[in-house]
Amino acid sequence: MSRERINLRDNLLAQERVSPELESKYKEELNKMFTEKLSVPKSIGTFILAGLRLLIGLAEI
Amino acid sequence: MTEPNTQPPRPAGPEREEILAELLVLRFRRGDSRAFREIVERWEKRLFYYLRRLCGQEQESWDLLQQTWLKALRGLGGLREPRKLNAWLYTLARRSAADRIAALAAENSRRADEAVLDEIADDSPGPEEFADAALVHWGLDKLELPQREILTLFFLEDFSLAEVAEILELPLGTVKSRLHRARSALREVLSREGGLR
Repeated sequence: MSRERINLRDNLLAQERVSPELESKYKEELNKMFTEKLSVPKSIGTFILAGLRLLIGLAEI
Repeated sequence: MTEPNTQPPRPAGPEREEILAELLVLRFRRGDSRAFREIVERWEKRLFYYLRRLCGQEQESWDLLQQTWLKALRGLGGLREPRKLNAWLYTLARRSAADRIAALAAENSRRADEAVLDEIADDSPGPEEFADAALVHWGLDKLELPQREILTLFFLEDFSLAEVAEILELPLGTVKSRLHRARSALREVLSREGGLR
């Protein structure tokens, strides 16, 4: 995309007027979604890792 | 005498964007949750702008954007062409909108009747012709939905006509004609009413 088109796009996006209340409500919902959806695999991974460490620890004893 | 440039050439323009998109998708697949947040940050404003041109209502646009992210989160792992992330996100946004906006659903059903003009030059709108963002922003809202939508896509992204055809689920010929008509309509609106603002 040429510099002129990027400028036009940025200026176009800057024209959009939004309500701060609605935007912050959206951000709040999005953060909730991140916490619920994105943290699940991490939790599962942590759980599996803890299980493996426990097994290795037991095997060493 | 100048030193020879031994650095490999850096990819530019669309190619750079595609590589960046691919990297974000790969990072996400490897379990890096920050990658998804980066995707949101990068595309949020543009998708919101597009959705608002589709439905008009701000509250609904935020809701649709949220739905789009939910769909993206579910589908990103299985995205077949990570480099096409940009077009894919617009496709998701449009589908979210079509589920909720009656006008868009009606537009989808009318598209079969749309006449296709032959021999249209591939002339995407450029900054030379539509350089005043405030005027363009105002003019877009004066257009009918199909024209507003296609022009919004072309103003926001460097999509090829084929990519737009994919997003709108339309034949290439229809996209060409629609873009041609949309450009003429915007030009007319701006010249007729733009000066009166």
